[in-house]
Amino acid sequence: MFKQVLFAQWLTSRLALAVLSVLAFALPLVSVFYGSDLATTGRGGLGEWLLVTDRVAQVLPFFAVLVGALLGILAWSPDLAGKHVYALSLPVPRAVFVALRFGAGLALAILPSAALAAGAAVASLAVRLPPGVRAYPLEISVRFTLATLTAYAIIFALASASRRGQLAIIGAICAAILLDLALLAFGASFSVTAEALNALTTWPGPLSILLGRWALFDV
Amino acid sequence: MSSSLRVLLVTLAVLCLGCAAPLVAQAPLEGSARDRALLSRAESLLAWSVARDSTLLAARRVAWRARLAESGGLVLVVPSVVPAENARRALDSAQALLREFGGIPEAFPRSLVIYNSEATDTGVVLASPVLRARTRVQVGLMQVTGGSWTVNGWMVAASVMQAYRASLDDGWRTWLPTEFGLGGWERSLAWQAYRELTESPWSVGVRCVSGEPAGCRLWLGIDQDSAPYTRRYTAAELRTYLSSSSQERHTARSDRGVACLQGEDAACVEYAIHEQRPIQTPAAPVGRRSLLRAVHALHGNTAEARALADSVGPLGDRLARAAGISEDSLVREWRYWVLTRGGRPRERSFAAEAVPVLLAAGLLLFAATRSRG
Repeated sequence: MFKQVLFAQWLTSRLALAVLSVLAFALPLVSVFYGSDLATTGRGGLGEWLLVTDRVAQVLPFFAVLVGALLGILAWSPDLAGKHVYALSLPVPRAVFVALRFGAGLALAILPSAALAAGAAVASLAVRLPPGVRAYPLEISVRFTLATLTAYAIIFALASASRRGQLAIIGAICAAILLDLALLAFGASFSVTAEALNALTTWPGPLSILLGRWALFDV
Repeated sequence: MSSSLRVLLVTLAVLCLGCAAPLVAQAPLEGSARDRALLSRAESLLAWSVARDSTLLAARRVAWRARLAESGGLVLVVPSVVPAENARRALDSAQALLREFGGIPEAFPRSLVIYNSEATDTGVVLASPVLRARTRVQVGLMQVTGGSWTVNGWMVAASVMQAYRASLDDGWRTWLPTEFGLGGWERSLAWQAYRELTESPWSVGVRCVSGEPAGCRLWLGIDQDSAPYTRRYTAAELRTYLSSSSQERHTARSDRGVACLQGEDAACVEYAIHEQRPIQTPAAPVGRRSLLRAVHALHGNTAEARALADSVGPLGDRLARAAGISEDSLVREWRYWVLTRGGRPRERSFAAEAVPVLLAAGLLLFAATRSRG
């Protein structure tokens, strides 16, 4: 059954996956586009090169979110298009079906992650680094995979929720914003959304993986 | 007598009379009524002018009399042309800046009297029994649009910091940059520090970027070196610096300078020591300031305060002691902080970062399986 679900999901996501995988492979290579022999580069050159690496590093978490979100949406697109008829016709409970869909999406998410790992490995091997600068291809690949998984799980859960559930989530976000505005009007310095975001993005918050250092080459 | 000669004589006589006329005018006035009137008018004009000048002088004296403002133990003496509200606001703002820095003991500003010497009776005010015991620190004034005078919190805080720097031991006094604790560490400053380190023309800077703690210590000048010029610079670097377009003319004025330019290594070191050019510490002020800021950001402002109050051993030791880590760990942290423009060296293991992600994904999957779609 997993095979069939995976194949169905592959059919709907293959174009997006191809584009995302090519991008994921290319992104780490941009870091070394400005030069590959850094062991003998000038002082200013190393500074500039580290800056470019840093810029690429800033793009990576956003790219991971994009990959995860797209895959999360695409996981449910065949069911939405077929008005859930296919899902309802299957002789499995909904919980199992959802788990299969989740697993299939996750398996497909490995493709861009593997492409990024390959790009990072090629970039790391292609460059001669000066002492003090190290390459982290494995760390960046695992980090990317985890960040993609986070975004994928959130969007997958949101897309799988009932209309009422989705409205409840959107309503809760809007209520928090309105509460913030009210607090602001009364001159309070406390912000519900800021506190919630802080809790989510500070370890052990699940989004803390998106922050921190994403540089392939670091000091 | 011919007619032409007569014309000449008449012309000469007229010219002589013309020249004599001013001399007559300068002669003492005769006692005629017209002369007396003129004299009295001149005297009255002079008296009016003197009176006007003294009125203006008195008004200025009043306007520039010393005004004393006090807030939270910080005392400011400025001319009265600075509005009282303005002076108080400057004190409040200075206190906020000093609190934000946090490296100066709270009692220190209360031991000072910050004054502007433009006030006419500054000396009298400063000699009053309340202020006599306080250390005097000067502050400048600023003329704003519209011609009014003002003083701002930044200037007051800068004066306090300079006074604090002056109160420290010789090591800190020579090492601390001018505005060592003022303001935040904005993005532009982080970039400046980054460029300062990565584009440093000195080999110790390159060694530091390469991850060698000893290179960082030498670049920052935090080791107690008996011969800083030989340890922190090479003779070739000194020669390159001294022969640069901005320095060469000055260098060529001295025998040792000329010898250095001609290739004598020892002369370069001797010349640099004698002239104190380049400065003893390879790091420019922004580079040195970045070390204090890193200690502040990574170990809190109390660590910074402890380090500044310490006067035992090299500066690197003092900072490391205050941060509670070894000197090499401190410069490693600082290097990472500067090169990543505010990053903290990794503390968590990668597994620790993966756990919340996996837990959240599991929870979301559970929620998705429970939803009715």
